[in-house]
Amino acid sequence: MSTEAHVMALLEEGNPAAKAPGAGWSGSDASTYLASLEQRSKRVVQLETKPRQTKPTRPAIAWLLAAAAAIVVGAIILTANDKTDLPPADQPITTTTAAPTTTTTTTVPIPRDLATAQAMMAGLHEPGGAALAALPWANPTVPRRVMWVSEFGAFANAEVLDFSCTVGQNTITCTSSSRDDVTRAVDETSVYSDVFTLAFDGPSGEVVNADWDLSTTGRLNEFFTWTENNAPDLYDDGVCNVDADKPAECAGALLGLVTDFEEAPGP
Amino acid sequence: MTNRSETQFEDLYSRYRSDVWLYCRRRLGADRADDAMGDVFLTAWRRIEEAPESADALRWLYRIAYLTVSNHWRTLGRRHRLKTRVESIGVTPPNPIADQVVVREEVRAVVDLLSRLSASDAEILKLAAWEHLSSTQIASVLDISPDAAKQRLSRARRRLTALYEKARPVDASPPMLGKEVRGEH
Repeated sequence: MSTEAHVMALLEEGNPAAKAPGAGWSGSDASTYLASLEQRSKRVVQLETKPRQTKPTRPAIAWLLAAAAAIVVGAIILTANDKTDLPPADQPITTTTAAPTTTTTTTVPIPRDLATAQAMMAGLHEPGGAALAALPWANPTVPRRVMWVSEFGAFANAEVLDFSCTVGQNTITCTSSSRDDVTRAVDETSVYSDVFTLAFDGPSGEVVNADWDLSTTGRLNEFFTWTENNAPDLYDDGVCNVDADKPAECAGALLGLVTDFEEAPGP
Repeated sequence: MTNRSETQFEDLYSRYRSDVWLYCRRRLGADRADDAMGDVFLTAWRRIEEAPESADALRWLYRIAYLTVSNHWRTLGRRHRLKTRVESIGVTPPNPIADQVVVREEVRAVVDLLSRLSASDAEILKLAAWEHLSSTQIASVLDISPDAAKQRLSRARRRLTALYEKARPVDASPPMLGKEVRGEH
């Protein structure tokens, strides 16, 4: 047996869920399961229709609101730029939080370091994201990764559809949906769904974590998967590898693949 | 939805739920397998009119499962790339595959090596070794041509073998003597 065949045999042996008599999922019958799926689907719809803040996009910060991840930034800027809306650092701020099936309004204290961060992020409307980079990051390479999304969106003419934010003791979390030239080209109904969280260290005020959770749905999801299969080098070593730090080139490359994707057979 | 659609869904579900669940578990771990399977069958239900006849139905479900799991990992991957650069966090993302494999060290080592391949290489190897799909079947799951699937499978096998040989101690014995066997998927 060649080494290659041996390795494949080992891989096969390493199957984490090898099929065996009685193996696999053994839950409810089809009708019960379908009913539970439909119920879950209804819950998803409720989540997607929760009340959102809506304010017109200002030209000066339009670029910032371009990217999916920048929704959180947009929320902060819209608050911080309007002085009448920004409470003193140690004053409560009213935020909207959403439970899986209900929407409630709660009042929570906003920590001083978060208010500082908001003020700094309010200056993000210059290209390059200097204000974001100026945040007291525990690791200075992180904001570059965050701005990657913003610059991708700026190139692709992204548009924020809606967002909502929750302020915690040492975190601020925003969820949003948005679209850009890629989604428009693939499918008008597809959107990016994002959750962006900044975590601050209480005593030092440093940003210790930026948690950016991007997801795609429907036809858009199929498109990204298709690109990963048909243009894997784009992600492995190409312009869509975040380490390559070429978000505009990545957006351009993806847009260039839309036609090929449309002509490819579906699942 | 018509009664015919419901009947078709019930048929898909009863025949292939275990295959779909195993596919999800192999890639996401037991904790996430149920949710992922729900996403797969929810998509299948919404697109039941597109479901092929029974001979190709499992391939169609695998295709949906592949898209579902890919989206999951893409999200985790992006988060991971960001998190690995935050020194103060130091959280190691779970490896649901390696955690489940309670087997000899050599097997675990090979499974671990999958994480050092590109996502597309790792997936094509899993489809071949764990789902036992032919290259033609892999092609339809990944939405690529059969020739491309064959080439990528071959390339992925070579890359995994190269990683294995690189990781193996220099004084290790050859894995096995005998006639070379090339699997044909």
